[in-house]
Amino acid sequence: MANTEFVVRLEGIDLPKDQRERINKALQRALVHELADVDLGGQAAIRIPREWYGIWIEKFKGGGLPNVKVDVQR
Amino acid sequence: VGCPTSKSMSNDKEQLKERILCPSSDCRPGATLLGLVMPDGRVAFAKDWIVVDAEFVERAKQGRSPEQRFRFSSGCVEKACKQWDGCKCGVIETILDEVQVPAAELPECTIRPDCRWFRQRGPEACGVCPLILTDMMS
Repeated sequence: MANTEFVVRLEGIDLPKDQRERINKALQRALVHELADVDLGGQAAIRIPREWYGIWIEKFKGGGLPNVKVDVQR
Repeated sequence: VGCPTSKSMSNDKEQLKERILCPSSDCRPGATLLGLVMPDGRVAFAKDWIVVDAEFVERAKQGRSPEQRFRFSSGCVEKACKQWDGCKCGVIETILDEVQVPAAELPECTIRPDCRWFRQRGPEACGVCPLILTDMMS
């Protein structure tokens, strides 16, 4: 399975714990914010529409799932 | 089988209920980023617990709907959700009535122990979970 990892290794440097934590938090924050721009273009097979008025199960691209509309309104 | 009433629940159960997470939440500050929708439509789940903040939400909303690109989790609101049927989530019940996807191997997931769908339906919920997204633009 494909993986994407972001690792920063500073060989030979032993930073104090508080500085390690501060840098680590900054890296995490930067990663999360950059992820916000990621769009791989996928369309999921099963969509739960806004307002939760119903569930539409669509044919999954090449996956052979049934093209079914499921109405769960009551 | 009836639903447990609030009167019959012990304090422990009430506390446990508080921790149950919806695996198909909208994009909001404090939500957990469960994964990304891949080009084939399946969700690739994050191995680490990633909580999004206001800046993430603001940036994500500038592109295609974040709920179409990511999956988020936040606390299950039970009666405040139209899909709550009195004692369980109707979403996963309805989906599993229509679609069964055997999960040969459970996908990586950061919320499984506290996931509403997993608690209700076990591994079969994990089989369809990577195919689902909450489409806020519909």
